[in-house]
Amino acid sequence: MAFDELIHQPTRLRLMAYLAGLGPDARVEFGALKRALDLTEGNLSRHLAKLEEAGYLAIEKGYVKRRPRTWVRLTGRGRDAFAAHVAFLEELLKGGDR
Amino acid sequence: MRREEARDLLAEVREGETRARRTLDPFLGGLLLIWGTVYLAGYGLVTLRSPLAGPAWAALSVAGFLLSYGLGFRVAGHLRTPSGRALGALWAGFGLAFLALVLAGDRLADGAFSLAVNLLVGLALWQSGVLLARPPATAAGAALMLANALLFAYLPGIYAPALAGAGLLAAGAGLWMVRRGLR
Repeated sequence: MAFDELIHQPTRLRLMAYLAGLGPDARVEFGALKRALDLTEGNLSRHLAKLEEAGYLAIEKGYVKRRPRTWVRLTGRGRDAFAAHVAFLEELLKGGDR
Repeated sequence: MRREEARDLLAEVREGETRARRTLDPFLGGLLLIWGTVYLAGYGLVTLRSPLAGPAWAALSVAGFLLSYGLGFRVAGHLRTPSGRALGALWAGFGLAFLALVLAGDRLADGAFSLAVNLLVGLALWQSGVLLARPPATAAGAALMLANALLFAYLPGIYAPALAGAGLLAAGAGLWMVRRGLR
């Protein structure tokens, strides 16, 4: 249970929740992620870059039918950080202000 | 941080998780739409005693499989999840079982082919619902298995029209899921 300044931002929190909800080792293509979360390309890119820098996400380039694709995957470190942050929020909700 | 803020942030978490859970809904909806239409047309022709029913079933089944696998590959082009992989394997197994029944062909007793295929479809639907945590799909699979057996045994006269009706319901539910997923 630990507060995480990076994940705390609402859009990044929703992004992490979406990726965690897809299950372990799930990978989602950039365009599909943008549609799923109703984000603009620039907005999503900025959040992904910050989370990748922290090691919470892995961004992989690849090809599908010869078209370049960018895949996003939650890392083990990201999953742990997300779980700890959610536990912190739940504890706060039960316990009181901090 | 205040409790109100934590509550709002946890709402964001639930929203993200809900969207993740619904990610494969358009795929499941697409399968329901395809196979509901196949049932509606196939059993509809049987109900109308059309001479085209036999060849139409063969053509519809092939088209249904091609469309289903095409849909699966399309989804895999932008999303790869453990439940998606399990769903793909499940429906590939269904395709293999269907092929085995086609190979058994004439050696099956009258009506046994339909009974067996519909039990397999019901089971695949049940398992899809379990994999995607979608209780309505699980319930629909159970209802199809039971209705299939009961109609076959006790009400063979309405077997075909009842399954055509089930196809219509499935196609409608599938269309609703696909449209919701596209919003």
